[in-house]
Amino acid sequence: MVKMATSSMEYPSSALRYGLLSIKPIPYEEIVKVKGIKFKTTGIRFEPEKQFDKYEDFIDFRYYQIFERMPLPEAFSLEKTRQHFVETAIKTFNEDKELQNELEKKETSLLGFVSFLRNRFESRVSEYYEIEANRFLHSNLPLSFFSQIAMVLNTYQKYLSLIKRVVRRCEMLSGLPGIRNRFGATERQLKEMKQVLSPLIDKMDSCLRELHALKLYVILWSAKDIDEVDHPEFLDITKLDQAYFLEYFNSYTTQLRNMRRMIYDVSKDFDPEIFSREIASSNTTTVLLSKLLSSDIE
Amino acid sequence: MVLSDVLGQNKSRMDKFKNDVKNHGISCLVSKTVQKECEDKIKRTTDFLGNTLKDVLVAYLEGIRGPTRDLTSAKPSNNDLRIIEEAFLTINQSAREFDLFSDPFQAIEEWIVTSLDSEVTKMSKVSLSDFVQRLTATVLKETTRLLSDFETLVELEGDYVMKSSEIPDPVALGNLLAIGIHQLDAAHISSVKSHVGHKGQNAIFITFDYRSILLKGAEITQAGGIVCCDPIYGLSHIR
Repeated sequence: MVKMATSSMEYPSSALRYGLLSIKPIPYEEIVKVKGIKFKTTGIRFEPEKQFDKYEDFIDFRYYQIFERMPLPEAFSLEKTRQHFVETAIKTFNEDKELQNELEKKETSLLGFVSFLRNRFESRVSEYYEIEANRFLHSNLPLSFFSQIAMVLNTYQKYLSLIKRVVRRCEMLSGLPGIRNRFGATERQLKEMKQVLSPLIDKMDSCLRELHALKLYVILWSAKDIDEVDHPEFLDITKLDQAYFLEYFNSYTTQLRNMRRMIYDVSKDFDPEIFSREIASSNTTTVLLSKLLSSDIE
Repeated sequence: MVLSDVLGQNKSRMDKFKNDVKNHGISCLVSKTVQKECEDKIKRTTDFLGNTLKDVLVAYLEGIRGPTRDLTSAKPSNNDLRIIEEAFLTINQSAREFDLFSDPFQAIEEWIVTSLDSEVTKMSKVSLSDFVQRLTATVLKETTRLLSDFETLVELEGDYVMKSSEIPDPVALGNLLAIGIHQLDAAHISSVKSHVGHKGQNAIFITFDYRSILLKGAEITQAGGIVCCDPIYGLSHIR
């Protein structure tokens, strides 16, 4: 049975958009007591800039976008299939109390919020690779297909590293000692941060949407009925229309390439090390790949 | 050469070459044909490895003869190493009669046996199906790193390499094919000829491929008008 864990990969762009783009700084004052003596402290917290679309609306629209162009097998009704995935996604999100707590906490530290998302992703990334490995072992699709799918994990690591850098710079520059108008500085830095992050988040959104569409196309056409889509027995390339499959695959890889190009370009100003070499020539799997690439495999 | 560099092969030669590029302002260009060949090679290698994992490792561990074993409940044992021994003896008998070293299966065999051997000796063992899944995940992780590094070097021009849009010079291509140079190699070399024609600059083709190209260097220069050499001699040819 193929593992179909819905990962936090499937809703991070909305969390980052909500947590970093739709916010405004609000100055506050509060009285704190230290050893019985009252002190007045001032600070800046972040609140939603406008009435943000609910997650339910976002996810509903996301699946509408995916299914409006996807051909479905006869055994599937469009409405029921869409509803199934929307409900599953909302249920997963609602059960993710950890994320919801962090979304609350981001009022005081944007960097803390991004660090949480990044650390959580890093702690789960091996599991995500294993999920793709499991899908390969229960399919007749080539491993190179899954390595292209897994490229999004490599890309997402770079993406979160870059976002963290951008947010850190914003927090650092608005908190420099000697700034007279701290609120004005925060407003200015936040505006600059949003200008950098907005296109990145938009592009990652498109990339993840295309990836999700590709995966759903493969799963839906491999499954017998709606009950099997969460745990398909086998991903079967022979059941796929090659023209559609190629269209979905090319659409995803194009978005991925554009995304990586954008991360690379932006990282030059924030952290060029994000694209430093990853291959370690002493690693036993690298040695294996070196040997295979040097031999004549036809 | 670019793939070799990404994988950290021929390091001292590549270091010398990169210093030459840096210190003498040499342009190091990669043609579309080279980029495509490298990408195809990574894809072929990944699929070869995937097929071996599924069609050899899983198939033999499940049992090629008799009833199928459920790998989700079976734990790795010494006997599984004997099964792997039998598997690799059977699938590639003919290649082994001649040359063990150049046989791609032997590299995979070594890698699997080393990993399985380490699993067998552990006190707390995972199931065989989890073991295979982890091996596959390791391959996926490593190939994404390889793809990422290759893309950074070539597509994103993140180091000493720049992309070239030159297409093969048809006359040079025909001449090289006529002397028996492989189609892809001939296309790469004749792209250099196009570059020389369009840019009017001296240019050479560098590679670590001694067998197919460098040992036929004199013939290639005569037929295609392009010098081919090992990267460490590159500077000496264009100085």
